Amino acid sequence: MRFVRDYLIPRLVQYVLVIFFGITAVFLIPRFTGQDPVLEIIAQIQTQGGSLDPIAVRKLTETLQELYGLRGTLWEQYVNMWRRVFHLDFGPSLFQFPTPVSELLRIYLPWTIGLFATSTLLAWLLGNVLGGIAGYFSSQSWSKILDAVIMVIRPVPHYIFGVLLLILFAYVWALFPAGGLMLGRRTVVDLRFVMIILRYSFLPALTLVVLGGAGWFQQMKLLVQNVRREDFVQYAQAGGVKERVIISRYVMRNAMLPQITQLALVLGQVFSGVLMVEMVFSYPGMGLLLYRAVTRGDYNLVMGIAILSIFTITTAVLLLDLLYPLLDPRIRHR
Amino acid sequence: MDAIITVENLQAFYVLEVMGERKVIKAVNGVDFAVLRDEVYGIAGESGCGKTTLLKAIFAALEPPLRIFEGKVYYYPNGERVDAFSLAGEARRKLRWTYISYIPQGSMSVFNPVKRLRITFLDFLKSHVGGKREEELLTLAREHLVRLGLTPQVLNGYPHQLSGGMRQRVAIALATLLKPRVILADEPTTALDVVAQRAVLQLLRDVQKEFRSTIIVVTHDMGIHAQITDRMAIMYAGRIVEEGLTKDIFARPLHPYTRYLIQSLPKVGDKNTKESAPGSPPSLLYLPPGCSFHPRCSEVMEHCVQEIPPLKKINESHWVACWMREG
Repeated sequence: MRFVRDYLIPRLVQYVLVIFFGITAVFLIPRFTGQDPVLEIIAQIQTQGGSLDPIAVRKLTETLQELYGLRGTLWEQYVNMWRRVFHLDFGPSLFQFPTPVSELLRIYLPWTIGLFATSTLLAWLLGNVLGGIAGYFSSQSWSKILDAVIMVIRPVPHYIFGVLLLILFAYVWALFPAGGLMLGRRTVVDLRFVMIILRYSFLPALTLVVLGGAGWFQQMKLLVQNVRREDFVQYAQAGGVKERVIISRYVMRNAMLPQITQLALVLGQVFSGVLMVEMVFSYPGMGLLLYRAVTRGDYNLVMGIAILSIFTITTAVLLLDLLYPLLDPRIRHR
Repeated sequence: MDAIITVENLQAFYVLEVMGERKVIKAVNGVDFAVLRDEVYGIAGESGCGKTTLLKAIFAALEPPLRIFEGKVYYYPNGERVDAFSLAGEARRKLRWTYISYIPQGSMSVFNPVKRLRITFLDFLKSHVGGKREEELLTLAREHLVRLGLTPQVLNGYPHQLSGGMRQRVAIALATLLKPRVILADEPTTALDVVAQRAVLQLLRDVQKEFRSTIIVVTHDMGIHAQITDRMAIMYAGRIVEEGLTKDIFARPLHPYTRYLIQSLPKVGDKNTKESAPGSPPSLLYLPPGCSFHPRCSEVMEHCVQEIPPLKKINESHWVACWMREG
């Protein structure tokens, strides 16, 4: 089949190559910084007043090298790293020793996916539908008012909008908790648990949906205003095709294409989390986890997040590439 | 023969605000004519003479900055006279494609690029034909294509899979789907090679014979007028300067401008160098006084500079606006 040979296989090859080079880069970059995490830890222990005899130091060094995957030559370390990647074993976390990195990811990831994916999808849907309709009827007064309101909202930083929501809905009217959700090791998914998640996620999600949706709205409005002037839209109007059909099947359907690309790229960034929002609402997400890992020099955790990040973004792009020909038939026949 | 479209003293101008200054482009400046049932009517002229604007006005597709300053366009659906500009919303939508339809200039991008042509045809059909199932409508579309000598297979394709000539023929099929009484064709063959041009012209002729509709063809190409139109009008700077049976106009052009247009056509065995009208068309923003053509006319007289010549009847069917034909 030509589709498989000319379209599918090149993309799969590209997918594997990007992951390979990405993970190799993640492996090499910290090793070129010249910092030695093992020496740093030992120095830390010593400055904290712990006196270690040389034998203890050597033993500790060996143990730490083993934990960090720093044993052996560069090549041996590299091969070893790949073995760990395939077993999803990134070693123990440092600042939450001895919890394995994979365990931490397992705990934090659902929270981030729940908040980030849901609010991103919701923001995308709302922003595009409203932006599309407002763009089609851009000369109407309600469209202009909506546009003006959104122009004011969109540039507000996440932390200001979040704090505003906190003051209003957690302090003035204490409808929602002001954050501070603690994560247990094991979570049982039942109705009570879902309710807790909803209560704690509502305000952060609202922040993300409103600010994100405002961005999608503005982009979609501009796209639609351009597509609306295309020949095929004007021709359908001239031909007396019903307006409802023109808006959905002619205008929105075509304006949506670049928005879908963007959505996939944004969703791929789930591992970087949404740091600002997580901080304001002290929400236990990946952003906060990564931030702590970086500031405390938790190399294993940083590695783990970076590798999973590479994996999700490339997978998102691959899925997009594979789905796109269904959305835009012109791609198939290039 | 009865009229199917009449245009009375039509003045359609573009009104622009440029740096706080109001500018009026007089694209169609006092045009009168009637198009009859079952004829092919041609409108000829250079780029920028107001041909396309005239078509837009006839189609009552008036988007700002285009505005009608004076005059009327009448349709005659079911024998009664309807003012095209007073039609609004649903009433106008219903006449589109059933009474009057439009073949666009260069149909490269008139189809929805992400949908199969079947869907586009169905969208147009569903908006005008009520109470029929999708299957029946699709059969209707297939039969129509077959009748026009096109393969119904094109419905399963996407617009980008068709060649330019094929796309234009499918556009004609789409425009004639509901057997409209009047079809407006705006430069239907421009941007096509001569082979495709021939096929498109043949198709237009077939459509006209088959459905006995009226076709109004707008093109700068005098060759096409000679091939398919029965009557034609020559436009210059927003006015009709000559109107008559096509064969009369080619045999005995009365306006100096018409003569230039016809002389520019190549003929087999003709060794003379072609002579074109000197100069370039006037700006519709600042028209010359008197006859708009006088700066380029080889037979200009004193009177031409002072007063605009009216369209004058020469015989039963031939009209011309030139002071030389006075008396």
